[in-house]
Parts: sequence; structure tokens; C-alpha cells
Amino acid sequence: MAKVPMTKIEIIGLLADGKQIIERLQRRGVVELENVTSPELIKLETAGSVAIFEKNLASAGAALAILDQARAPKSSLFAALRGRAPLSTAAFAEKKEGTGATQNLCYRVIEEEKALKDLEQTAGQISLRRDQLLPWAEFPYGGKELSTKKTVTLTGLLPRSYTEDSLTEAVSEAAGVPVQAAVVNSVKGQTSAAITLLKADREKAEEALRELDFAPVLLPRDHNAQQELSLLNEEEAKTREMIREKKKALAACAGEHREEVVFLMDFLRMRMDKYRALEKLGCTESTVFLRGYVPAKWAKKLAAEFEEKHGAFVTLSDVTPEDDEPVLLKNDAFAAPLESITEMYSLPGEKDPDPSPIMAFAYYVLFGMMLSDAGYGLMMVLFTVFVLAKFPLEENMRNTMRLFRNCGISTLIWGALFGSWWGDLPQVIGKNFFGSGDFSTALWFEPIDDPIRLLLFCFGVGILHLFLGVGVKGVMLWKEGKKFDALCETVPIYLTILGIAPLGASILTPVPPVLSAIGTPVMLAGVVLLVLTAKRSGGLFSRLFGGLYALYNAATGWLGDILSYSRLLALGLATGCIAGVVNMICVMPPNPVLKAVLLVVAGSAVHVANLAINLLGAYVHSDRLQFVELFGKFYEGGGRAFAPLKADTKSFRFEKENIYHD
Amino acid sequence: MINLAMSLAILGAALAALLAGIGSAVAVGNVGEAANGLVSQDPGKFSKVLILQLLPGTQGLYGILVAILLLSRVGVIGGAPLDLTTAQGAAYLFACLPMAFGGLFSAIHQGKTAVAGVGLVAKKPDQSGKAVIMAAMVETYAILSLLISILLIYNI
Repeated sequence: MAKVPMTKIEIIGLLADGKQIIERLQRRGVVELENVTSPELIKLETAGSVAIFEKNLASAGAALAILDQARAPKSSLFAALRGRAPLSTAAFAEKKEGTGATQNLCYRVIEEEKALKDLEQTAGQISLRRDQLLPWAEFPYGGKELSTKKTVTLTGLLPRSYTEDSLTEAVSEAAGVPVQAAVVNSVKGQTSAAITLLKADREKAEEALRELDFAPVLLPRDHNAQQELSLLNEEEAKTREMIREKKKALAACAGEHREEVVFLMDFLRMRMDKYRALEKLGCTESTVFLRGYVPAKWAKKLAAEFEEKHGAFVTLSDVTPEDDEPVLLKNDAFAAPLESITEMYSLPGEKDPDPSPIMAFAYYVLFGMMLSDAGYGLMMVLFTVFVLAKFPLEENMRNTMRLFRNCGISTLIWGALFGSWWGDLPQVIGKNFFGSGDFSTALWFEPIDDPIRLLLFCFGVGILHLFLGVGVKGVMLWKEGKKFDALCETVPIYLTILGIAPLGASILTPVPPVLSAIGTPVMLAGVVLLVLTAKRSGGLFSRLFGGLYALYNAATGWLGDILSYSRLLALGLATGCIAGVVNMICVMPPNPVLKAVLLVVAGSAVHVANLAINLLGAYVHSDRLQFVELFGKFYEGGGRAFAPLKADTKSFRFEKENIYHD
Repeated sequence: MINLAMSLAILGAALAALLAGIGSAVAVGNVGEAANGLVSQDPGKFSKVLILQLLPGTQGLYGILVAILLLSRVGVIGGAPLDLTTAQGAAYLFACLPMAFGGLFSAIHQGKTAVAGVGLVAKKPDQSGKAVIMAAMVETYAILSLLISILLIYNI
């Protein structure tokens, strides 16, 4: 229950069996391979194969994105909870046969998408041309008819309103040559015009027209704009129809083949991992050699399997301190949910114990105190128990649900102790519907009536939590054989804090004189011990100053640490008070029916939102109290996660394939 | 009865809700801008950055909480207004100041940390938990402010 002990494993097999050995390792998923380097061994070169897999994987990914856009994949609220579908080895082998075809399909899908984009571009160009020609629909001439032997007619768009006369005048004046303009169409400050002039004057006229921001519009040569427009319409309809067809085909393809593409991606990832693993092997002319770490409990079974199936020569040896031993955590159902919290901080280093079981109980308690509403706790428990019972969850999701179930139970208990059920909902209902709301459901006391009492209680919980951290440090030292150090690290600080606690509490509340009387000598004893034992090497002055410095550190550090637990009170009050405000607003209307409707409809929605926000708060601050306050007392971290070669699949998992589980 | 004393208490409640609310609005807005930038590149990170955006929103909630606790304490909501002395009214005003200013500044700075956290999520999505913790560190001071304001309101 903690860090899983590892064994080093070395396998020597025939070169011809190399791939099968790696494949078996991948299926078993319990061995992390080390890169074997030795001048006598040849390394396999797989970079080329890996690059091909990468390219294929990228195209499969692109194809999947195209298919998903053509037809949105089915997704439901609970899809994430269902986990990966199990797949038998036989079914895998069968599906594997189809991957070549699927890969081709992916390339085809990408081609189709490209064609679709081209068609869309064509359709866009057609509609642009149509918009350009639309003002010319009434103009009876085609481009061929616009020039005679001596004259030419320029057609185009001017960004202002003109009449025939004003345009003729404007152009003739600007160009200094005679022209005749005809306004074909004039709307919204834009004029489509045909301007006829002598061929000899063309350059001058064009120059002048440019000044007037004339944009030429080329008319079709052999027929007029009206005929061209009907041709364009026809063409566009055809293109749009083709686009629709292509989209329909892609959507149909998505429906039919999406799963295959997802499988292909997993398959490619598996092969890529396999080829990358091959690079870690060392080879001679006829043998392969590999080395890695395997959890000690599986080592013998695995060795036997490889000796039997591949006639390989397997050596097992203990991990030495020089080895870079990877960390795998394994805990019981109570502490396992906390592994993710440990990972978020840092995996335990060489000397650290696994902090998950150490903090588990404290984590649930602190979380419950921060959320501390029995109603909310009940909702969490019901939801998580339902999900845990109903869905075949993946291990990670199962642990997350367990975490929130356990936190929910704690929340329920603290909420009941402090009499908070969806804030003051029982009182509000009593007052508004049954005429009496002057009661308390608290099994212990209502925090809002006596916040100082709860504050002191929070500090007490905090001191226990911090003592736990110091205690773990002491046990670690004790186990290392440094028994005197273990006592020096724990006893003085315990005495100091225990002695000072009643004195500190007396600032806020009356404390029995006996406690205060005992407190002072205990604290003094602790302080003296602390100063004398904090620095256990060096000369007299060095020890004394080291001790005083340790005292200063302890005083400031522990004060801050303990005060930090006031967040338990603040967040607990915040949950209950916001819930109370929700209830208060819901019963504001005088009509009792409206009150009831508001409480049920709006109330429940806002309570869920309040739960969500405070859940996040409680989660984040429970983490913080572990990471900063508790871990600060003993934990180093810096471990490297165990990363075995395994079938790293997203869409399926091998059924009963992994025989190495508990 | 609304007199100068009650007005001072109401000013306190208003400041708590107002300043803490401003702080949260600024911070949530800033984080939202950064988060939109990231989501435009990678929509899959939405849920991760949403949590970061939500974090500096709590100060606004705490501000509201202090305001409502004070208003119900002095009877402006849910009862008859108390007959406060001017000194008591002023005391209530002062009691709100930790939340008002602690909320304002901690929200803005938590927002900055969360914006940096969005950058962290962009580069190392698997480390998003750490970005959340970094931002949560700042919130400690809002919580301490909240605590003092509540203790004062209930003990004046």
C-alpha cells in the first residue's frame, strides 16, 4: 500500500523473436523499458517506420476531423463515464485486417474534402460574377457588338450616381474628348454605365475614367448579360448540387466508417509505440537484449511467461540506489482516490513515502468542513454512488467518483453537525409553510451563532494535521535509523505548540485556568528543547544561533500555517450563507404557491450552481492545505512516473488481455 | 429607521459588494480574454481554462456574502432596521473594509496569476492542476479578509 516495489528485468531472446517479444510486452503493459546502450550491441533503426506511422496518424486525424464536421459524432453527458469498450484479441486481429483499407479511406476522405473546397470556391466565383452582371441584365448587347470600326464602348461601374447627361459631361470634360455615356443601371450611389468613344481617344478617356474610379466590367463576348446570367444560374445550381452530394457522401461515410478510423488511429499509435520500443533494444547478430523495470509482484510470472513462450533467457535483479527507479502508486479503495492529488503535486522521490494514504483521512475531513452542507453532501453522494453503480468506469474516473463520494460523505456529516441542509432550507420551509422556523437541525452547534468556537476548532484540526506531517517526518527518520534526530524533529515542536495553544485560545475565548497553567511550562520546555536540539552539529555558538533561528522559523511558520486553517471556517460559512441567501430570495414573494414554485424550480438550479462553485473552492483549498501545510513538513517529491510499454488506446481496451492485475 | 448610522452600515455593505465585485469582474474578464485566445486554437482545453476563469470570481461572491450578512444583521433585509448609534454604524462600515479592499486586490492579482495559468495550460495541458493551485494561493488573502469581516460583523 504505497509505492510499488520494482524489480529490474533483463530479457535475452532470439533476434527473430524480437518483434513478438515487444508485442507481448506491450499487451502485458507492466514493463518500462530502459534504453540499452553498449558499444558491443547494435541498435535497430526504426526512425523511418516511425515517421511513416506519424504521417499516417496525421492523415487519419485529419480525416476524422473532416468526418466529424460532416456529421457531428454522437455525444452524451454520460459518454465520458462509459469508458472504453472491451475488445477481444480475436476481434482485434479481425479489425486489424481492415486497417489498410481504412487508411486508404482516410486519404480518399482528405481528397474528397479538397474537391469539396474547390467546388465551394467555384460556386463562390460564380455567384460573384453573377452579382457583377446583374445590373447589366437589361443591356441587350454582348461584348462582340461593343466595338465598330471607329468606336469602342467601355462598360463598367462608377461609385457615384449619374444621369446620362451628367456622366457624358463629366467624362468628356475630364478627358477632353467627345464621348457618349449610357446609364444602364443606377442604384444606391452606384452607376453601371456604357461609354462610347472614338478608338483614337481611348487612352485619354481611360485615363479620365480611372480618375472617376471607373471599374471596368467585362461583358460576355458572344451573348448578352441576360443569357450569361441564366447560364451562370444553371452552372451554380449544378455546383451546389454537387456540393450537397459530396457532403451527403461524407456524412454517410462518417456514419459508416468513423469507428474504423478511430480504431486505425489507436492501431497506429500502438505500432508507433512498439517501433519506438524496438529502438531501445540492443542486438547482436542473432539475439536481442532488453532491460527494464517491472513491479516486483509480477516479475516471476512475467519471467516464466517469456521463458515458456519465447524460450528467452530472463534475469531478475533488485533495484539498486544508482538506478532511476520509476514510481507507481498502489493503494486501497480509501486512499487510491488521493493518488491523483499526489501526482498533481509531484510523485514521491526516492526517500519519500507515498503521501496518499497519509493524507486520505485528513483530506476527506478538511473537504467536508469547507463544504459543510448536509444537503450538498447528500447530492454528491447520491450522484457519485449512482454513477459508480451504473457505469463501467475507467480506473481514473472511478477514483475521481470515489474521491467525491468520500468527500460527499464527510460533507454530509459536517453539514449535519453544523445544521446546514441546503443552507437553512428546513427553517425556511418551516417558517413559510408550517408557521414555525425557529429550530435548529444542528447535531453540534450552528457556526453562525458561535463562529469563534468553530474558528478555534478549525485551528485545532489544523494543528492535528500539521502534527501528522511532523510525525511522518519523525517516523521517516526513525526508520532510517536516526532515532535521536526523529525525537529532536518532533518532541520539541509538539510540546511548544501544545503548550502555546491554550494561551493563544485565551485571546479569543475563556480557557480553563488549569490548561493555561500547564500550558506555560510545557511551552517553555518545548522552546528550550527546540533551541538546544534544532542544530545538532558545529560549535556552541553555531548551535545556539542555529537553535534561535529554528525557533524564529517555527514561530512565524507555524503561526502562518495554523492561521491558514481559518479558511475551513470561512469557506464553510460561505457555502451555508450563499445557500441561505438563495432560500431567502426564493421566499420573497408573499404568495405561498409562488414561493413553493420558486424554491423548487429556481432554488434547485441556483443550489446546483452554488454547489459547483463551492465544490471547486473546497477541492482547490483542500489541495492547498495538503500541498503547502502538510507536505511542507515532510515531503520532497520529484519521483518519475512508471511509464510501461502498453497498448495506449483511446477507443477500446483489450478484454481480459492484461493478466497482470489484482 | 434610516439614519446616518444606518447609512454608514449600508455604505459598508455597498463597498464590500462593489469593490470585491469590481475586482472579480476585472479578473474574470482578463482571464476570459486569455482563455478565448487559447480556445480559438484548441477548443478541447475549454473546461480546463473555464476553471481558471472561475477562480477569481469568488471574491465577488464573498463581497456579496459580507454585504448580505451585514444587511440582515442590521435588519435592512429580513426584519426591522435596528436603532444603531453612529459609532456602531461606523464600526460596521470599517468591518466591511477588509473584504472590500482584500477582495478587490486579491481578485485582480489572482486574475493575473490565472492568465499566466492559461499560458501554462496552453503549453503543458497535463499540468493544469498546478495552474489552478497557483491561482488558489492568492485567494487565501481574500478568505482571510472574508473571515475578519464576518467575525467583526457578528461581534460588533
